[in-house]
Amino acid sequence: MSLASDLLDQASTLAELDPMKPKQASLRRAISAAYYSLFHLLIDDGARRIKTSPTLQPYVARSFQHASVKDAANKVIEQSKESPPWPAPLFTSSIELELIRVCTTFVDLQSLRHSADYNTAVSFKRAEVVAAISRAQAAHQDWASLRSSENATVFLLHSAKLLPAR
Amino acid sequence: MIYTLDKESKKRIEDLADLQDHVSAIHASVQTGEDGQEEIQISISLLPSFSTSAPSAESGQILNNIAFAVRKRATELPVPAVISFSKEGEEE
Repeated sequence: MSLASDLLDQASTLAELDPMKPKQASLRRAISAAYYSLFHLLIDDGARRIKTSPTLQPYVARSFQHASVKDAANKVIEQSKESPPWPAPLFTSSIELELIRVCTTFVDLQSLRHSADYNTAVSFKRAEVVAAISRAQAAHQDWASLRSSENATVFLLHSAKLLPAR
Repeated sequence: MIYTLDKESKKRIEDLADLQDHVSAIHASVQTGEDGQEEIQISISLLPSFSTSAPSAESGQILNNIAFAVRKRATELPVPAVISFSKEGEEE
């Protein structure tokens, strides 16, 4: 099992604890684990795109920052705009629906994870946590179906800031 | 806060058309995210009949398709959107 899969399983386990009255700590950690499962799924694949030795690969993975992956995900989402932003010319003509769903899930889960980890003014309910984990599970499936595509590679390289606009 | 969501855009985002099988309400507002960036926060309330007893990829696929459809309505706006789901009538 990969770290990404283990984190996804951990998210489900945490969300199902204390069925009558779930603890906020469990729900918050469940959201965080769901987000990180998707983050690690993407950056592990991203690091594999850049050929290095197994020793160097974890260091390459660390070059992917949360903010830069979010920025690249938003750029994928914005490709349907009338004037799509960089790196529009590098994407093939139609971006796969699966890739757009992965990117929208990533952006949404990152925002939710920020609230879960830092905002104690909000209280989480199990349903929204289960919804977030379900979305992460579906995103894992979507990613499995398109991970080898050219557009997925553009997204990952842009996430690592390896595609500077000219 | 600089960006204001105009009435027309808000109405378009909150429209329940084609989503009534699973969604009871949509609320959109401009907020500053935890990372300090302005974003349109879209809260989607699910009907009580939508199963959230345990996580499932099938439910996730439905939710991601709803999120995709709603976000599309905000694509041309200058501020990115962030979507979250809740469930109508859920107790603490």
